[in-house]
Amino acid sequence: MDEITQAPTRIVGGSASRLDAAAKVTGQARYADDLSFPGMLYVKVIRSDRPHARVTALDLSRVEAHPQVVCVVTPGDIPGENVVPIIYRDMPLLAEGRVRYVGEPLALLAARTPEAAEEAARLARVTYEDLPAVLDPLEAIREGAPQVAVPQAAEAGNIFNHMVIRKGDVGQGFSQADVVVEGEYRVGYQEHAYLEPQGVIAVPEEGGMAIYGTLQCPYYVQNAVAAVLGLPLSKVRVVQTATGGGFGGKEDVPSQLAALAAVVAAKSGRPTKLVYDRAEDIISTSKRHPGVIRYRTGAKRDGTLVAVEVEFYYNAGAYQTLSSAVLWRGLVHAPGPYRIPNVKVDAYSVATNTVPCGAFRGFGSPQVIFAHESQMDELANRLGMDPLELRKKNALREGDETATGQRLTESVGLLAAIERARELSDWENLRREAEEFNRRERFRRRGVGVSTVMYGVGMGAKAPLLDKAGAYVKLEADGSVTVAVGNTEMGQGAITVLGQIAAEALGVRLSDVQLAPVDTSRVPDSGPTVASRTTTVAGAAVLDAASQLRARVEAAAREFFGSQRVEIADGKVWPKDRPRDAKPLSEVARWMWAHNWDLGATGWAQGAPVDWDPKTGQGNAYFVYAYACHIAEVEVDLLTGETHVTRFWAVHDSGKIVNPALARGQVAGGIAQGIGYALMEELRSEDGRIVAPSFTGYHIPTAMDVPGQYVIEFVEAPYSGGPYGAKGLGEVPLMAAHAAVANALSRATGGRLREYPAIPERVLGLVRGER
Amino acid sequence: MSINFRLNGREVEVDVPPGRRLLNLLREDLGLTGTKEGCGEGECGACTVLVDGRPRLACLTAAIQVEGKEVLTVEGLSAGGKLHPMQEALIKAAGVQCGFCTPGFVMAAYALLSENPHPTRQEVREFLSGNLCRCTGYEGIVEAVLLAAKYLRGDPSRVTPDGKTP
Amino acid sequence: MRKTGPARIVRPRDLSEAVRLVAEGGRPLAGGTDLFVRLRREVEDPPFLVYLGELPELQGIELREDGAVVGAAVTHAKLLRSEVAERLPILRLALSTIGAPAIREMGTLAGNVANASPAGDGLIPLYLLEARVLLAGPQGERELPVEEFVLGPGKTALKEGEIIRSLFLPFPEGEPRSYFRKVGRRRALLIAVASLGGLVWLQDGVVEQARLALGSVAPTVLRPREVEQELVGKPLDPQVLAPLAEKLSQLVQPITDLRASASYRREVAGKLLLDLAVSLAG
Repeated sequence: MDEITQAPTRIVGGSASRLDAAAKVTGQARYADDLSFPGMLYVKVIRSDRPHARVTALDLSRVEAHPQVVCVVTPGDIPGENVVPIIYRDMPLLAEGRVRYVGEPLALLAARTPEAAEEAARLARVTYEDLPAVLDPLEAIREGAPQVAVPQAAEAGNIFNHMVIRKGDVGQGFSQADVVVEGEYRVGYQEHAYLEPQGVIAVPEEGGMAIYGTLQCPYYVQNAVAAVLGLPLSKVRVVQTATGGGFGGKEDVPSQLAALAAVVAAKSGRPTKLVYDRAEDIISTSKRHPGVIRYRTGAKRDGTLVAVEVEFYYNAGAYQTLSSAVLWRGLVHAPGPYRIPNVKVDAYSVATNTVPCGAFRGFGSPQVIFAHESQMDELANRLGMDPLELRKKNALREGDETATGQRLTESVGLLAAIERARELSDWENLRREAEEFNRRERFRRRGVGVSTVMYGVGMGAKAPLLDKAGAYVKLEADGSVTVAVGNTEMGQGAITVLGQIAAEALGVRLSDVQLAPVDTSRVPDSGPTVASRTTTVAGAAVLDAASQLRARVEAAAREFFGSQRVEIADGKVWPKDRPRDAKPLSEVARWMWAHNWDLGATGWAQGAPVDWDPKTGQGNAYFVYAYACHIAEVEVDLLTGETHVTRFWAVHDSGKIVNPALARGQVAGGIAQGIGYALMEELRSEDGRIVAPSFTGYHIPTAMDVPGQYVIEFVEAPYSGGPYGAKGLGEVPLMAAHAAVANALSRATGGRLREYPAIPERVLGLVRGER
Repeated sequence: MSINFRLNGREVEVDVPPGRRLLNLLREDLGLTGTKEGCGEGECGACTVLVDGRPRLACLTAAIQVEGKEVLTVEGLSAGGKLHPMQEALIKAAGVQCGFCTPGFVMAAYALLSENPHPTRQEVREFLSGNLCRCTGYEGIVEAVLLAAKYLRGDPSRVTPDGKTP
Repeated sequence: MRKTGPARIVRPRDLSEAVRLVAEGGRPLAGGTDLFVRLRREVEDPPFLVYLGELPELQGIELREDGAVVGAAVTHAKLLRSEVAERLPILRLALSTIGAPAIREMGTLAGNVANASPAGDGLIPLYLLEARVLLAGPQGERELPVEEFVLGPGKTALKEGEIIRSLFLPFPEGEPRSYFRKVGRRRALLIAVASLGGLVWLQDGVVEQARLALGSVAPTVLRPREVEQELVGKPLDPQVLAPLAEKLSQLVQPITDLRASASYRREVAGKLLLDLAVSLAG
């Protein structure tokens, strides 16, 4: 691999157009709701309407009597286990006897039309006996709070998990500090707002079940469906449809949808479609965890960090789902990308009577990043230092040790990213311009803010077993190439990037490569498509397979040409000393086929070893880290508190960039989501009910709410364990963007933002000097 | 009730309730699934189609409202098998990610370029402000519309997706 | 029927049939941008809808010397493309912030009036221009000033069987400057949290006459006539107008809802007057 890493590349590093673009611009790409099957029924979920209650009666007689209803399912109809298996097994597929959040599934029905399904669902009569509900995580951990968490899934009371980092001695660290800043930060939900709502179709097949759906992790879905149907995994086949955005929202939730649809399909023996509308999607599916983060930072007069102490609480919702993993990533990322000798972090995920939270781009890190990046700015203010200088001074460098005691031995591009961001934005001048603007303008203010982040690529030491990937690469007899990987395309560009890696390694053109549709019966398990791991881990597996296959093609070509050394590139093969004899690869492929060569190769990759001591929170948390530095310019209207992000600079180190155009798209999209998180996205609940579950109630940025142009660049610090030196990228832009916006906004107002989102009302408070 | 209209250049007659949503009529009754439902309430633009050349949201349009009219959907743009310049530009400018919002953007942009062949960047952003995208941050899409405007004006620097100048 | 739309819609041949159908309990449907959402959310459940969108009697835009007659089925977009929008910059400013282009192609100004939402952006210019609403009903036609037509949130002076036939938008005398701004957490696809429109006649840098209309800060769009009076004779200088801004804040009767608190709305209502001053002084 090292040899390839260092050789100049022809396809990797080029901005090839997406392989799926033509199907998408013409409307031909088929998403979950675009499919239908003969005899298909429409499923509707009968849901809890109470945050916490005993269900004393569930009367579905009128539902069953509806002339269009074909099938009704209650827990007794589940052939396997009544569970949605994720990390824990505390969440039932259908609640039995007790509901723990508004929207929890109680029963299912299937009707001949979607309209009838909706109509019939309203005929269900549920009798509840309300139990005291607890909706706030800080209240849920108080003595005497109602017990929400299933005891087997919790460490104590409603504390699902408590995790720590203990490094050095914070007491001693703070005693050496010249300056200490302290703050409490609060964030609410962030809704994924993928444009395509959740949807699956379950289709009974010979002795088993096929699932078609919009999803990130086909093998998670397979596992869940097999569990509820009591089937071996081999009898469950999961096919990914075109997926209209995921962002983590389609990591674990599709397991629930697929299991729900599957039990109805199993009972009725007919294909069943379960597609949520926007309201049902917002009410019942995962979101970014709300949190309360308390932070204390100590530094020397020259800005050197000496101690950091963090305590944070995430509202996990009623069941564990992915919260333990989300919490762990939050824990590891809480100290930020800085050298800090003394660190103490206590992280808690807490059960409440609210919809379970889950994975969302950044996975528990954006919340603590808001806190640590605000602290850095508060510290810079107190020290009278340039906030960018302060970050630079403390930035992790190669050879440094992270807060978890991990020695960074390679691929640390943070300083380079900070330096490049400074140059691109003309930082000093930019800040001066803002000051001039503020002197000139009566009712408007501008602020410039910076953020730096690090991101542990892959699953990390919390779930090292999942950081592996299989791949299969096949040379067809005409020289075209099929690549099969279990990772999914959800918009991020995975299939194009993996195709580029295969094409590069094999010496074919990208147009020769086709990615196989993701179907668990036909593609290897490559682990989940999460954690910004696909390019790095699945890419390495594709590279492994393609390299084996290339060696075989070379061997065959030597025979074919009767030459000692052959070259392959751009779909042509030639003897090294006779380039004019070059033949299309198709001829060699045909010859190989005719001479009984094996044309397929299986590849395998796994992340470099990681380790973790949960008692101290010390260990090699991730096999490598990506870094970024973002700079935002934000304008604030002092009369209304309205804000606008006017300019933006983003520099990322994600190692080798396989496709710069797609990478740029990831960054711009992450910035927009970060702007939304910091400035406008807010999902209100009352008594455990999400009010206004719609895009009218939940505002995400429009084309008018993003900067007119983004300046985006990459500094590439190659990673020896990644294909061609690549590391992960997908989540990082969001993680960095909101914090730069928040810092810019705080500077513009002269206050300090401590709660997201900075809606106009809150901004006016900052302008007035309220905290 | 029988409803007649032109769809992507062809006369169609369907027998549906007059209040059936145009969105269901297109997707379910006529099998044109390129038009997407993102919210059902006119807040995302994924179901944008053109009716008599003007952008409309198919989720808030009843069948009876297109009676006798000309409806154009994303399927109608590349009917001859050749991509429309707006579609080409979206590929070229990397304005597509998950693709679910894409047909709506294609149709909205088509409407913009029909009434304003020389839009500024700001005009593009304003015109597309009813179409939500959660993936791209809009950059690639806005670039694509500006590029498509060039294509449509027959700009000599026009480059097709395969890198050739026609 | 929530997902696929209401089953029954009838399309009358002419205005008199429309009036008859509405009198029978039909709910008028024009653009549907608001009504279809309400039906979907089951906020209302009328027995049937009467589609007025293509009635010939409701289509026209007629320019008269003293103003424009705008048919009830005229969409925002059609109005924006018409000469009326050129003659009435305040109309253009307000209508071009409604929803987004596709919504403006569907929604009608008369629909905005019929909805009687205090956040209706289209109502602001109508209040400023002192527009009149022409109604057609079983007892014939009648006309009301828009301020008398709108009674409260979602409440109008429409009697049983009446529909809006047209709006009359008088052209203001002289050349007032026009101001419109709506406030919220994003810059498009926005329901106003507070809004202010203004027509201001200036003479030598001093206000000669002023009309103001505030949205989303009271049960209906509000004309603060006292403040309008007090503006007369004052320069458009935020410092001078600060007490009036304060007064404006006191006049409004906002509520707290999902989008903003009453106290924020109150504060911003006043502050927008300062923004008006800065914008129009230039």
